[in-house]
Amino acid sequence: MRDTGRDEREMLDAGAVFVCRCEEILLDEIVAAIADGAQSVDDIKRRSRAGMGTCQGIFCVPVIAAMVAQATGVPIDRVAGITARPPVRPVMLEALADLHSDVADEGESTASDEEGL
Amino acid sequence: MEERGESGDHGATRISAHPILGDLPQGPPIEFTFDGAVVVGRQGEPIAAALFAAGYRVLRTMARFGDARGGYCMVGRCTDCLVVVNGISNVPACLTPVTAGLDVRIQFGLAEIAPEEAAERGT
Amino acid sequence: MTPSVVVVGAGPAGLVAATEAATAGASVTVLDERAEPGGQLRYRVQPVTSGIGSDAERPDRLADRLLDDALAAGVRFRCDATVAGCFAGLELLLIEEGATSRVVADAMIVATGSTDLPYPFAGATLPGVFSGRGMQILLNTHRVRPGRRFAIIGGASDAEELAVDVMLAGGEVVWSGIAPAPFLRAEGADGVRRLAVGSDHYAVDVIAIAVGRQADPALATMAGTPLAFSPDLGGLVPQIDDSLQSPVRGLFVAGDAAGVGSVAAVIAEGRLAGITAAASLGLASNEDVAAVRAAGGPELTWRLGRRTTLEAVTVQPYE
Repeated sequence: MRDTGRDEREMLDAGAVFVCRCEEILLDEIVAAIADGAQSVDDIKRRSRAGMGTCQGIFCVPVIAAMVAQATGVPIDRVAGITARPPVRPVMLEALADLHSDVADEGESTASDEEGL
Repeated sequence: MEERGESGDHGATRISAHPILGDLPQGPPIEFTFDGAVVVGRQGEPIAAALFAAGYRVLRTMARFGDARGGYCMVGRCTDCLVVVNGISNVPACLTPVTAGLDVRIQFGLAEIAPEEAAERGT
Repeated sequence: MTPSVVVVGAGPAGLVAATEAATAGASVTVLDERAEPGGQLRYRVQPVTSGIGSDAERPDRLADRLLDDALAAGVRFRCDATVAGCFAGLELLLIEEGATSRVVADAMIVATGSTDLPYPFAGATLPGVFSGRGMQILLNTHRVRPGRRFAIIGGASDAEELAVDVMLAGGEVVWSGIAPAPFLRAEGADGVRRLAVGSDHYAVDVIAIAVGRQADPALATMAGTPLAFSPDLGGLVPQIDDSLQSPVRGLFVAGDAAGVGSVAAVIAEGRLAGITAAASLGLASNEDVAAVRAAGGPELTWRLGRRTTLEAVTVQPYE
């Protein structure tokens, strides 16, 4: 749990900009990670958790990629490679506990619904 | 267009008449509570829509800095509208339809409700 | 046994892809996470041009038309069905009513559309600040206007369409434009009250960020489809050939998920994906595919041409 609201709140001022809305990662932290040697979006993800939250990066990766490209001089299409990991939507853990097979062709599906994995 | 029934001094309202979409059909009202206060929703709409129409803006606060959020993407992809519903945390208000009697609360951080409410409920 | 096709996404591209594949003889199932098919056509209200049959028409009427065609062709729909992942062998992880299941088909068409581009600035996370599409859904689907005075960040067609949507909903557009992010600051205690643009201040209740859209092909990427960067198509797009085929066997991508485009463009592309998928299953010929490609008009030709010059970014498929 990262409930560190009280300690870190001084990092927030009226001009604070969130690049990663989900994990609350500030623009200044992305800048610092790049200055510290991050060379790609995946690097930034690993160092800061940006891109690892609920939206899986859709609302921050384009910005981070542009920042890295600008800072490193590497063209954006070399910098922006990211690893898409499941799940791409939030999934309740309980739902994963009980998976069963299904087949798109319904003519075959009725038996396999009951078979489990 | 007349602006009856605006909520809050920010002028939130249901759009009851629309040049393209027509009149908003009257449906059975769905009553639920938000932090203990009664909110009247419309059949089929998500919790977030009912709350915004009622004039509420804050749905949750965040874990790291405690900043307030009030919805952003409306399609269940971001993290701004997660609320506590009937004691269950991380419920996306933008996707969850209103149903009668829901107990909806502002979510503090990753899973909390306000300390006063928690004391009241004995949790 | 009839070859099966699963289409992820019931927006305009997915609907026509499904119809095309079903007409060619495939057993087609469409999965969509929303409650009803139609995608963007369900929350946009101003007339759109489809390139098929009609002049500009209301988006929801076009959606109904495309849905009717799909149902008539025998396409099956599973709505409120969220695809959370795509694994080896094109196996999909599906969530319906809180329960998970797996779905496998002989071919898969990813038509998952696009998402709003982000535009971070000071105060952009305040309550009352929404993404452009989020605002359209709130106004047009849920019929709720979350405030009276609006600022719209964005300078192109998405922002323009949203500005008119706001006015149709009885709201006031106080400011609209695309100032550089360092010049923007949203301010307010419980929610946004003001937008500062440089040294100017505007009293606003709502801010919508409508700077454009980006492709959302995450399922295709997860399966191993490389990405390439195309400014014309909205940024990172899946690298597919001019038949919309991914290097991953049996996988096709169409519509906004393959690069942001107009409704007419994504419909033409959806049709091509459907016939190409059918051809890959032996249900259509190369001539059939060529005929559909030719019928797609200049919009489709342009889109297909954009991709041939792209170079792949190295991407890790999820294993």
